[in-house]
Amino acid sequence: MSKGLDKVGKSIEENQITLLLVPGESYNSSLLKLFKTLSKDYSRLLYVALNRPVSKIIGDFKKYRIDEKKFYFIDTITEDASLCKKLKNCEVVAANDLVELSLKVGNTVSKKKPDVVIVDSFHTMEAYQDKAVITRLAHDLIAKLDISGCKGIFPTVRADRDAPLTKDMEMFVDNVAEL
Amino acid sequence: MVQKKIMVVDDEPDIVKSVSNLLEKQGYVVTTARNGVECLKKLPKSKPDLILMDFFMPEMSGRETIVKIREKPAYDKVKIVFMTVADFRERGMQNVKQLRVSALISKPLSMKQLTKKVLEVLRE
Repeated sequence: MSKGLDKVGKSIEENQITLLLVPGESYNSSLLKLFKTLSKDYSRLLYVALNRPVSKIIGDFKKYRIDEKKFYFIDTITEDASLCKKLKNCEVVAANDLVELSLKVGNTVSKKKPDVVIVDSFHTMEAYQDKAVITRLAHDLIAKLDISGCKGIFPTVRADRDAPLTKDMEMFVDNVAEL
Repeated sequence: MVQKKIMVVDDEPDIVKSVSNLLEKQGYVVTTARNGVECLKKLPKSKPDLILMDFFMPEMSGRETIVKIREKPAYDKVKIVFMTVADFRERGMQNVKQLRVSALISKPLSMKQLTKKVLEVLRE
């Protein structure tokens, strides 16, 4: 298993689909450091935000001096689409509409041709979706990434390493890396 | 001749029905379960020689169910076949091997292929 920022970066470079275990106590900061590295290595990134609204993510990006222009966001948290429309690089989808979410990600991957797609995080969906539905969604999205050839990064809290959803998702990823 | 017993585990009733009908016509004794939890409940009584297991199921996935089956020495010799739409990658295939899954059958199911695979696995 790859561990640490450098090794994770290398793992992402070498593998198409990575399940990323992130320490819960520093989840956001660890990911932000990784995104800073990724934004230097790749020119187009798609961030599917299932945890936090894009406004907060962009605020953090500013703090960490991450080039937000390299990112395109799909926000499932912000309920008021007009808030997101102010940004040119963001679209809103209802988190409970998985068909729409899957279509939106697929269409965005086709149109924007990102190098990397980050889905943060499937595990959040467990609060309101059956695990089998989430696993199917992950499988569906991975198939779409396969067609487009872009990379996928699926972060999850390290404490969920042995959770059934993590273990099921491991069946479809190329590598499990640890920050 | 002792009839072979097969358990079909899938949350899609149409698949359970069509697979069960096919296997029963071929002389197998068939039991069914709608998910992994029901499969584990029915195992002690049905004692199948082979389980045809779906992957994506509510409550307990096919993978979780197989892990639990393999934890019980009583079912050590039961053969398991995944029948699924899932496209496992190399890492997933390693897990499939570790779980001692005998074969994978892709959905949508071809009844001809299913028949052939069931025969092959039961002969092993």
